[in-house]
Amino acid sequence: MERKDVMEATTRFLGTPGGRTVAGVVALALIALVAILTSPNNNPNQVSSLSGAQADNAPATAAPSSTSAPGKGHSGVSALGSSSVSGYVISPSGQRVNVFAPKKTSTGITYAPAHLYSASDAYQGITKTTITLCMHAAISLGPAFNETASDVTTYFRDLNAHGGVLGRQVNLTIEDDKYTAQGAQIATQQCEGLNPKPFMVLGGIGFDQDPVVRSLAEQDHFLYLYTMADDGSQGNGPPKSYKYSFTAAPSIETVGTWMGEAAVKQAASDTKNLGDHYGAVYVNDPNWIGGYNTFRRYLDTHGGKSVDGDSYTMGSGADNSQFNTDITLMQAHNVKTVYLWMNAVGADEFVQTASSQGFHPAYVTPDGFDLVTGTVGESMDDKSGSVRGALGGWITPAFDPKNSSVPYWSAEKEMLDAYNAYDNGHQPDDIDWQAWLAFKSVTDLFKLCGTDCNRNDIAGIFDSGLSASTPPLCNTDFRANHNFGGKYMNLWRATRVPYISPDYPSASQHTVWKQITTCADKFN
Amino acid sequence: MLHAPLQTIVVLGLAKGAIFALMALGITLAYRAARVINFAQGEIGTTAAFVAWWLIAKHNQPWLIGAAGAIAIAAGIGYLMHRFIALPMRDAPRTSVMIATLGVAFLLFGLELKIFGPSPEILPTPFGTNSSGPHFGTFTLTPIYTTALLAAFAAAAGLALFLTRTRFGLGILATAQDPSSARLLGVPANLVSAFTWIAAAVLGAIAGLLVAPTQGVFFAFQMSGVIFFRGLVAALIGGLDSLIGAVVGALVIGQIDSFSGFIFSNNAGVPELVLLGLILAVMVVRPRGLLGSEVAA
Repeated sequence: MERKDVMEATTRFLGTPGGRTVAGVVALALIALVAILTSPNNNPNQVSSLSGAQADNAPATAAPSSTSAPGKGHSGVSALGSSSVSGYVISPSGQRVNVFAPKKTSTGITYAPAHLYSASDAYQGITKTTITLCMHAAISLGPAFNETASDVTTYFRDLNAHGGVLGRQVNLTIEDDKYTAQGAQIATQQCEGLNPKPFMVLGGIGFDQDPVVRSLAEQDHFLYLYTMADDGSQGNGPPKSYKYSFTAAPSIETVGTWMGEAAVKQAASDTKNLGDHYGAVYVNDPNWIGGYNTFRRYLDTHGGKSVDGDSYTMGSGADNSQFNTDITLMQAHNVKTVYLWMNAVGADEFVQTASSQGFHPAYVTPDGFDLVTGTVGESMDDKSGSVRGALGGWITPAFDPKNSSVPYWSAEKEMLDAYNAYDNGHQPDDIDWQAWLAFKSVTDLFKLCGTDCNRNDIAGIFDSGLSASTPPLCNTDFRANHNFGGKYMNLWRATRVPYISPDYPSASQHTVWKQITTCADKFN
Repeated sequence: MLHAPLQTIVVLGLAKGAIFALMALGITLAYRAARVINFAQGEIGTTAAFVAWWLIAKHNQPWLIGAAGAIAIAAGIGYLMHRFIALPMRDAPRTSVMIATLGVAFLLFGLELKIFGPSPEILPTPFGTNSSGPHFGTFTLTPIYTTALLAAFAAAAGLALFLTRTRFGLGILATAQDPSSARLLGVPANLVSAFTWIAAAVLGAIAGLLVAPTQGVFFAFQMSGVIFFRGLVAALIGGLDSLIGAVVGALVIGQIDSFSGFIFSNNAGVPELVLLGLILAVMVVRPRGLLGSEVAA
C-alpha cells in the first residue's frame, strides 16, 4: 500500500465517529504520558513546594496507611532530598528530623512514629512559635451551662500568658457543632478549612457528634483527639481500630459495664431494699446502644435479669412523651434501680416526672453533670427519699469548689485563680473544670512529645501504648487498646448540702456530686 | 401484652388527653375564627411557662401572680399576631398566614433562648410538691392532671356556649364563615379578629402553665414538638371547627397514645406512627373529623 493510500485511509477513518473516539483516547494518553514524565516527583533534585506539594512516599520498610493529598499540607517545612525515601525535614525549630525514625519522649521512652503523614505534612499546624488547634463543641448550648467559647478556653489564655507550651503559643479555634451530628460535620469541615490548618482537631462532648467526626478523621486523615464515644462495637464484639482518632476517655461500652457493677454492688449492700429490680431508660441509637448493651449484659450475668423487661427506649433528643408509661411500668415491676442512659436534659425530665408520680428509685447514670444536680438534685440525692442517692460517674473528679479538703484542691484552686485573672465575671463550673483538665492533658501530651513534635509522633505515642497521668485526672493507658486509653473512672454520689449548687447559675437545688470512689476500673 | 392493669392505662390516657385537649382547643379556636392552623400555639405555651417560672421561681411571687403575668404576656403576643399578621394578611391565602405563624413560633423560640437560656427549668405547680392523688394501679392522678382535665372541659364548654349563645360569639362564627358579609352586617371584624387571636393565645398560655409541670422540666421549643403535634392530631380528628370535637379528639388520642405506649413500651417512635396512621385514616374516611361540620360549635 502506498503512503498516499495510507493517508487517505487514515483520513477517512478519522472522519468516522469511531475514528474520532480512537483519536481522542490516543490524545489523552499522550497528554497523560507527558504529564507523568514531567512531574516534579520524577526529578530527584527538586524540593517539594509548600502549595500543591506532592506527597512524599514513606520508606519501603514502613507500612504507610496513607499520605496527605497534594495541597493539604501547609506546615512551613520543606522535605529534604529524595523525600520519597528519607523522611527528613527541617523542623519548625530548625532541627533536621526524620519524621519516621524512632524517637524518645521527654521522659526517655522510645516509640515509633506513625506513618500517617508525609515529611512535609507531618508538621502541619505547628511552627516555631505557634501551635494551631481546632475544636468542635456545643457552643450553642453554652448558655445552658453559663458558658461561652471564651470561658471554656481560659486555660489557653493562662497557658499562653505563661509562655505557652514548649515556647509556642497555642491558638485554639472553637467551631459550634450545635450538639448535633450534622453540626459536628459542618464544624469539622470548618476546622479543616482553617488557615493555617490545625495540627489536630479536638472533640467536645457528644456521643452523636464524636463518632461522626471520627469517621471524618479516618476519611480525611486529620488527627482527632476526642472526649468519649462508642468503640464501634455497640457492645457486641471487639472494638474497632482507628488510625487517626484517639481518646483518653473510656468507651461508652466500658462505662456501661462499670455502671452495671456500681448498680449491682450498691443494691447488694443495701439491706433495707432487698430483691432489687433494675430498669433502664436509654437512647436506642447506634451511637449510644453500646453503653446500654454492656450494662444489661453485666446485670444479666449478676442477677439483674429484670432489666430486659424493664428497659424502655427513649425517643431522640429529649422526647419524654412516654416517660409516664415507662414510670408506671417500672413501678408495677418494683424496679428500684434505674439506669439513665441519655443526655442530661432527658435525665432531668425523667427524674422530675418520676418524682411527681411518687417514684424515687436509685438512679445510676453517667450524666454526672451539675446540670442534673442543679435542676433536679433534690429529687434524686441521698436525702430525697429515693431508694438510694443517685450514682453518677465521670472521668474527671467531681467539681467541688466550696470544699478545700478534696485531695485535688490545688488543681481546682489553680483553675479558679486562672479564671479570676483571665475571665473575671464568669463563675467557673463543672464544664470549665472538665475542659481545663482536658486541655491540660493535651498540653502534657505536647510536652511528652517534645520540641520537634509532629503529627506522626502524636499518633505514634498512642500506637506505642502510652501510659501517662495528668493529675487529678485518672491515669490513661493505651497499651491494651491504642485508640481508647481510658481505664479508670470516678464514681460520685448525689449529696444534699446546705448550699445551692454553687457553680450552676440557675441552680435551685441543694445537691452536689460528691466523689466516693476515685480512679477505679472495677466497681463491684 | 399490655404489661399493666387496664385502669392504669385508661386513667393515664385520660390524663394525657387532658393535656392534649388544652392544646387542641387553642388550635381549633384559631381555625374556627381565622381558618388558620396557628403553628405558634405550642410555643406561646412555652413562653408563658417561662414567664410564670421567672415570676414564681426567680422572684418568689405567688403562683397566681405568675400565672396572671404569663397569661397577660400571652395575650399581648396574641394581639401582636392579630395586628401584624391577621390584619395585613386578611385577604392573603390561608397557607401564607400559617407560614407566618410558624415564623412566630421560631421567633418566640429564639427569644426564649436569648432571654431565659436553653437550660431546662421546673415550673412549680399551684399545689406545691404535692404528688398525692387517687391511685390507679401504679399511676397517680396528681392534682395537676385533675386540674388540666377540668380546665379542658370548662374551657371547651365555656367557649362553645360563648360562640353560640352570645351576639359577639355569633359574630365570630359569622366572620369565619364569610368575612365580607359579616362586615357588611356590622360585625366589628377587627375586634373579632383581635379577640380570637388573644383568646387562642390565652388558651395556649393556660395549656403551658398546666402542661409544663407534667413534663418534669420544660425548655425552649418543648411544647412546639410532641405536645403541639398531639394537640393538632386531636383537633384534626375531632374536627377542626368543633371545640367539643377537639376535647373528644384529645381524649381519644390520649387513650391511643397510652395503649400504644404500653403495648410497644420498648419501641420508641411507634406511638407516633400509630397516630400518623390514624390521621391518614380519618382524613380519608371522614375528612371533617369526628364532630366537625361546616356550621355550629
